[in-house]
Amino acid sequence: MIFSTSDWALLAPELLLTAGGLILLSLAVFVPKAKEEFLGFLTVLAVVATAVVLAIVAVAAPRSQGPVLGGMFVLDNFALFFKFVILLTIGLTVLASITYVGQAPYPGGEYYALLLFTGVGMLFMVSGSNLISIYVALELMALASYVLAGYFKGEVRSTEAALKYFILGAFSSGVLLYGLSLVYGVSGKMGLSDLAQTPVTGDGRQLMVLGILMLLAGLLFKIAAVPFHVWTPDVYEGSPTPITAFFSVGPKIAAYAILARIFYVGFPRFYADWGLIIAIVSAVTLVWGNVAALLQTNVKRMLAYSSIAHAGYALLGVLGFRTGYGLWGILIYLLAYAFMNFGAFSLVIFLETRGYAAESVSDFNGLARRNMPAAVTMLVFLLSLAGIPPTAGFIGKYYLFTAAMKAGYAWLAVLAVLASAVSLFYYFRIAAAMFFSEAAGARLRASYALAAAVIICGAGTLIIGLAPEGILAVLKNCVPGGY
Amino acid sequence: MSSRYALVAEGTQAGLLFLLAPVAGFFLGKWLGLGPIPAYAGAVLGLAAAFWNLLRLIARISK
Repeated sequence: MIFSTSDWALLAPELLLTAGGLILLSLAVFVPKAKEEFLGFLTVLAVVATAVVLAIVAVAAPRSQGPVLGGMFVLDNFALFFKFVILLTIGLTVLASITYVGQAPYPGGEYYALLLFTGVGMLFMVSGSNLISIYVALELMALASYVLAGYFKGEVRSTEAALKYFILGAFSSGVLLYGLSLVYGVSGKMGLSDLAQTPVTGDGRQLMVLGILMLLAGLLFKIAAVPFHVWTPDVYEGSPTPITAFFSVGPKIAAYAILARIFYVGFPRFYADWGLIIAIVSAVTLVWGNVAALLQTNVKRMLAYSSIAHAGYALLGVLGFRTGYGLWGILIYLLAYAFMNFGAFSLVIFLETRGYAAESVSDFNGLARRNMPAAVTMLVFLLSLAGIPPTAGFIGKYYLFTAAMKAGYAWLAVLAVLASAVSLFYYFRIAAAMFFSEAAGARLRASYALAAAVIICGAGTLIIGLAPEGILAVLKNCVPGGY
Repeated sequence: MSSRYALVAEGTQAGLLFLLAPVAGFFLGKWLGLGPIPAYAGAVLGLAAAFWNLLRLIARISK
């Protein structure tokens, strides 16, 4: 199989990001700890350059040609959207990390390089049109993530988080791979478009369904859906907080992208087999995520269970993909989720960089008096996470709940609305601490890099909530396999 | 363990009140039959009541 130059040109963003990571690894040897801020800004530059190259490729590349590179890689509007979101999350993570990593007694060069390598894996994931290429990209993302979780190797909780993530992640990868092998054994195909057209009957159909369900189980682990969520609270709590923020957004969004693509392009004929299972998983995830978050006083664990609940909401979009609202719901909800969830974690990072443990809700006491803009932006993020208008979270949930109703799962949409209402309690707990509790400590100021990350997240949350028409017009063209 | 269940119950009740109280206030205002303004006022009052209930619960838990 011979690949043309134009095929390789489509890989320019991934190749550039890889080169950036390798350059950072090399430079890290020569840059002293005190000057590591330079490496952080260099990483931001690499991400911005990759985004520019991606935009050039998006304009110049003929995307009507379908999968290239032997059917392994596709650059449709769906993949383009997720690539930009992934680059956004990496950029935000780097901005939020500059001060945090600078204060920690661990080298920063490898940290930023690993973030870029995770990004490379995610970029390949969302462009995967073959189950094997998707799996290899997923493992690239996962392996770099395991190391990032345990980056603060002198801290027991960080090492514990990495070990738990690695062991459970490896197990789920094994289940996913076994599912792939069953699918290949029955159909003889690995390409998603080929799978959709391959007839499967009789005993082969039962094996195919089993393979699909095992594949689904592996992917549900990555998005932290119940009952595959057990790693999430401990890994989120133990990892360095910028990495926790990254885990809650980046890899989850990439996993949702491949979940949507695999089931929309590859297995639409088996909707009757996997649809109800996803509905039940979504319902249990919604309820369990919100109930468990109610009980938390540790903010990182509370936001971890909150992100589990949000995984349940997003599954409504997968359920309703055959309606117009399903895919749009996933796209706009994940974009909104990237801004609001990362923004919330950024405020936790802000308190940690100012000497607070930022583990208890009481660390947010009186934040409105210590830094009013920080408290107001945190309130915006909390309202958005709860789905209160006029924030991005409301727009995303509107589309997801509508998709569930149009797909015939009205009971699930009602349950999701009730679960959103319940979530108000633990979100407002933080808000009440910020505005109605006595301030303890002096005024707080954020670093410019962290402030930039918070401002970007706040602007995104409000713009999508107040003026969603523009972004919705773009998203309506972002259908997997639609060029 | 019972305090955990109590917290779940109270938190769930406080959250659900945000949905039910405005709806109840809206329909109560509409029942008065004096136009749309009492209905919207009822919804706003219901929302305020739910918010006040939530703040009281949070204050009690924080002590």
